[in-house]
Amino acid sequence: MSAHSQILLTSSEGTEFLIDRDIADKSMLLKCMLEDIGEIGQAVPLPNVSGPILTKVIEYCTHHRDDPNFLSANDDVTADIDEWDLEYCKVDQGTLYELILAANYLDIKPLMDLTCKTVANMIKAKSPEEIRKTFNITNDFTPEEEDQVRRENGKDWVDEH
Amino acid sequence: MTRPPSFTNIPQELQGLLVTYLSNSDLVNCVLVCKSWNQLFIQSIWRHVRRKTWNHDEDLWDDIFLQSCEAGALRTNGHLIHTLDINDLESFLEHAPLTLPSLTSAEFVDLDDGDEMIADFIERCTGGLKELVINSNYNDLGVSFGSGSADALLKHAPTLEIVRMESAPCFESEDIQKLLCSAPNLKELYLFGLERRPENVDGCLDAQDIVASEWVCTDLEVFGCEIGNIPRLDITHDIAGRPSKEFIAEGSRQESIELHRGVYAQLGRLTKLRELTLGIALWPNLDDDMWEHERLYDCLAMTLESGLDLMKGLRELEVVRLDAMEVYIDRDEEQAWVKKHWPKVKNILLN
Repeated sequence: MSAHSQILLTSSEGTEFLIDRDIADKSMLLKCMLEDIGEIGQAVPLPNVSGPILTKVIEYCTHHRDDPNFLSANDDVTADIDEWDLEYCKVDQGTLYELILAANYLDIKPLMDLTCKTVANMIKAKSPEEIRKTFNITNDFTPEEEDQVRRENGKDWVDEH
Repeated sequence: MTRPPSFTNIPQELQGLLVTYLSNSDLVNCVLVCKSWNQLFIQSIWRHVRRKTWNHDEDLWDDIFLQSCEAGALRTNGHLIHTLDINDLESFLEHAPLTLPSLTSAEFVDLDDGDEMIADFIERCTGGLKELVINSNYNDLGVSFGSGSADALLKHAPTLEIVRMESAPCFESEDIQKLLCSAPNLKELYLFGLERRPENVDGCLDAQDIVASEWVCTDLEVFGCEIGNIPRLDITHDIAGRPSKEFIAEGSRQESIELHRGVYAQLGRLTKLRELTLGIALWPNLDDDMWEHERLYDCLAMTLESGLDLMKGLRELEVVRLDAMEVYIDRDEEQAWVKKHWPKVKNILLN
């Protein structure tokens, strides 16, 4: 089979996407499937991924199609996210979670790392109240319960200094 | 397709991935957000409880951790602890629940607590200990690890992988032998106390015990323990101005040969061994007389005549420490043998 062959994918609503084989290969799920059963000549159904999300995923894989370090791209926990990736993740939270789920389902590790890192950055260095605001969460602790959790997890003994 | 309202809905393995990007101080904020976030993040905080030194203040962490314990933190979260590294066992046990089912790895540095405390702790680790490291303070009050702790530890034999004790004497020969005969997964056993024989025979394996029953820990990679009570008829010179027989074990030539061979045979089956420590130099500044007095004389002779060749299967050996032992492995014959059979050993530490 040629490296330039194309694969047809179907999103959850039945929209078809024709993508190059090397783009599809960024997904370990698709790569293994195509290696195992060969190109079946018909569309691969992806019932867990919606059209808009699949579009986003394909956008990511296309941008990184010639990345030699693709698989280890976001391994470094402390490394900054590069500019394109940063822009790419500027989406609403619902989309971000769906991207995480899609990256997990399609087994695209760098995208999973990127999206999880983005969520982590929304948490980092924020107070509990700021986190609640960011994620639109209602505090269901009573003041006594919250105080107890605070005392049990004394910020200082767990702190890394 | 319904949108996940928050990431408490995303799969657990991904939540785990998320946690790797957060520092502990972020996690403390997370557990305060709401109940579902608390459930999600609390185990990441309590999985590893490790003592740290802050701003050169060694006790600060202990004080703050103790405050958390006094607030009931261990009752709420003790079951989540996998690895523990503290130095005040007494306060920990006072506040901890009676069972610590997740606790598999414990390290105690500068421990002041005694045998009873350690035994109590070990008994609470109902999930099976894999690793126990003790580095205690020696004090006049006496022992840290003792027979009570040894009994408790032996019940963990099926799961134990690492047992390492430095400056923690009073592990009796019989118990060490029981451990070696009942812990099939043991990878590291390193026991060295502060006190040298002949005053203190604990923390040392009696050769008679070794030959009595077969070791099961054939995956052992690190073995460090004095082996004593072997008659050494080759040592005839005076020691510290006194006759050698005051320092060496009694026994006939035949008994000496059989014991040597029995011990070499047990050690020789540990084919994965990387480190073999039978003697360590404790006090390099001693004057000659004291040094002679502290030397090990009833140890293995480590010569070809005594049966060294039974250990030719230890081809993975990298480090051999025979400090402060009366051995002759630096002779040409033994040197050539070592080169041939222990190819990875660069040099043998002798003194």
